[in-house]
Order: sequence, then C-alpha cells, then structure tokens
Amino acid sequence: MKKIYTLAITSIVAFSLAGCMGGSDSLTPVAATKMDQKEVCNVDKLGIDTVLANAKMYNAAAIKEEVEFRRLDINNRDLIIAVEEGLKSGAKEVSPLNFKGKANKTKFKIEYAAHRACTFGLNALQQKHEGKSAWRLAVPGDGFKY
Amino acid sequence: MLLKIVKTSALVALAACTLSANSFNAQAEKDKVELIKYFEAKFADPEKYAANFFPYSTEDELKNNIKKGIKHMEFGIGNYAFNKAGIETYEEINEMPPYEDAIDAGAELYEKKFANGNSLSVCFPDPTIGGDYPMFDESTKSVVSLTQAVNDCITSNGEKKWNEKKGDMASFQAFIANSTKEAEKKVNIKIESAEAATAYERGKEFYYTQRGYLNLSCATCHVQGAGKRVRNESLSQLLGHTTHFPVYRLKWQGLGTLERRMEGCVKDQGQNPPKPSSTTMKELLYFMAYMSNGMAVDGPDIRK
Repeated sequence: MKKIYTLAITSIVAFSLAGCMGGSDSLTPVAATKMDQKEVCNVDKLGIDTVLANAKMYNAAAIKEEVEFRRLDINNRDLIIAVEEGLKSGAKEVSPLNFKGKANKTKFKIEYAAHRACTFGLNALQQKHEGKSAWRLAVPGDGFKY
Repeated sequence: MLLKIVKTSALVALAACTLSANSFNAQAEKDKVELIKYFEAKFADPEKYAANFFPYSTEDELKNNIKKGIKHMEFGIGNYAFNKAGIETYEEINEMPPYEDAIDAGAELYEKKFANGNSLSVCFPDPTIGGDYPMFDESTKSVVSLTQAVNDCITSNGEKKWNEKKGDMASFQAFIANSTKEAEKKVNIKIESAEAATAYERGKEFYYTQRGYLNLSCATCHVQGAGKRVRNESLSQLLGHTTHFPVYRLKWQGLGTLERRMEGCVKDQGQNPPKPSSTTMKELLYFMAYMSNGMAVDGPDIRK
C-alpha cells in the first residue's frame, strides 16, 4: 500500500514537472539543471518504474540535443530498453545490446541499470547547459589563459 | 563631375564588399593565430615551462622525449612533431608504408566507369583537391565534406553509396590526398559568408565543449592535453590534425577516414557520436581543417 502511495505521489510530481516544462519532448538542458539526480534517480526511494520513466524522459531530451551518453559500447537508449525488458521478464540482471545491436557480455543489476540510465540522461542535459557557457574557457585567445 | 561621383561611389562600394568578404573569416584567423601561438609557447621549452604546460610530466620525459622549439608548420605530422621516441617507429613503418596499395586502388576507382559510363574523374576532374575540403557550399548554405561529395557523385550516377569510414571511400581519399601532396598543395579552407562563419563557430563550440560521461572535450586532450602522456601514448595537437587523412591505423589494421577517427574520439569521451555525414560532424571537421590552413597536405599516413 505504502509503495502504491509513494508511486502515485512521485508520478504526480513527475507529471507536474513535465507539464510545467511543456511535456517530455520539450525538457530542456536548462530545466534539467534544476533537478537533483539523487532525488529523481533514487531507485530505493521512488521505485524502479518511476526511475525508469524519468530515465526515458531525460534520455529522449538528451537524444534530441545530440548528447546521449555511451559507455562500454552501450548507448543509454539500449540500457533503458534492457531495463524495460528485464522488468517484463522479471530478470534481476540485464545485459544491454551494444551500439551495433549485438549481444554484450556486460551485465548489470536491474536497479543499478535503471539508476545509471536515469543519471546518464540527466547528466547529459545538465552538462549541455553548463557547456554553453563554459566552452570558451578552453579556447586559447578567448577564455583560456596560460 | 557626375562621372566622378559615380566612379567614387563604385570604388567605395567595391571596397566595402571586399572588406566585408574578407571579414567573414576574421574570427577564424584570430583563433588560428592564437592556437599557433599557444602551441609554439607550449613546445618552446617544455622542461623550462613545465609548471605552465606539463605539470604531471617527469623531468626525464620532458628532457628526453619531447622535442623543443617547434614552429608552426612542423606541427603538421601530429605528435611525431615532438615525440622523440615515436618518430623512430613512425619512420621505420614508413619505409614500407602499409597504405600504398590503397593509393593504387583509389587511382583505379577514380577511373572506374559507373554503369552509366561516367566515373569519379568526371565529378572530380582535378584530383588535387584534398586541401579544399570540407568546404562551405553557398548554394545549399551547408558544409560539404569530401566524404559527402564523393557519395553525392556516386549516388547521382545511380550507384550505391560507399561506407563513409573505410573501404573504397578510404582508398579513394588516399588517392586524392596523395595527389594533393604530390602537387605540393596546402590546406585551403575558406569562410566567405556569414553562414559559413556561423557553421565554423558551431564546429568550434563542439570541439571545445565537454561531453560524455567522462566530461571531456576534444580540446581537453588535443589543446590543453597535447604533449601529455596517456599510458604510453603522447597526445597529439589540434594543429595539423586534418592534414594527413585518411590514415592507416595500427589499431584498425587498415585505412580509415577522418570521420572514422572523429567518431572514435567522441565515443572515447563517452558520448554517442554524430554520424559521419551529419551537420554536426561536418561543421566540426570544417573548424578543425581551418585550424590547419596553410599547412601542407601530407596524407595518407600511418598512426597507432
């Protein structure tokens, strides 16, 4: 009962936030900077379904911004798919396909995979926003002094 | 009197147009000059200025493995410009270059007839154009890479497009690069409109922006990090990066295009990289190539 209650409240909060931002399609890097990944990607607190929903929302925006993360040859979208399929089959571990669509030896606990997919999606957006002002600091003759 | 006014007005208008056309590349020229200044300062005396440029390198490394006093054009050969140990291996491999067959294969592809009787030589009557790409197409207001131009030629003649990263594409580009090198031509990237300048700026922003789960930019390794060591490899410098492609990489055991290499770099930063013929990739290459303007085209080449 408590789980259902938590899920209902977090879903309302998540949908409200998405609503404020004009829906998942328009989640922007600047809006992402206001989110705390320790909160929105916390599987213990929110449950894996909510974290997965958040991961999908953030990563869709990251793809739109062309900043999707890839680690160990796995695109974040494939990590999300693996978690979705794992939840359907009841698997405790997931093994996402690599970016070529081939099977991968890498395995993750499903909760960890959901957490990582969520933080990767959110980090990519936050990084995009920070990069907009920080990149000039690396340019010789502009912000970079030596 | 009236004639005099007309003549003066025409001269003023012409001067204004010329000034305006020249000014589109003003920022890019400034960037290039500053980059050259930075690398020349960095490699003027690595041992002496270790605190500024090489804080984590050992004295032995700086003294014995990094060449000093390197000037602009010398940066054209990548990290072999300063890497004393690397240059020996590089020269040994280049005694029997593994890319020679690819140049011959590229020459054959250049003349090979399509089903309609045309060939790549019709699209590219002058094969010494390696230093002119990527170029900004003022009619479509977009950057065109050599890879894209080749595939456009092939598909417009009813053929199936080539893989953009290796195989025939790399072989053909090896032939183009080699022809350009033999003609002693230099990198000659032009910015002649406001749109071209904007495309250049977007490429520059991509290059200097941190990305991926490792939060690295291209510049982290190849501007600020150039000359530093990652495991046993010395990081090469942005200046001269595009002059020698396509390259035969020992890691690939084959020849690859600049797009293939850049995809690998972005992947190493921890991001899903842009596609070879995407606007993002082409604008990135446009910026990088401009930084090498004036340097000799010396591809194909070998790299680890």
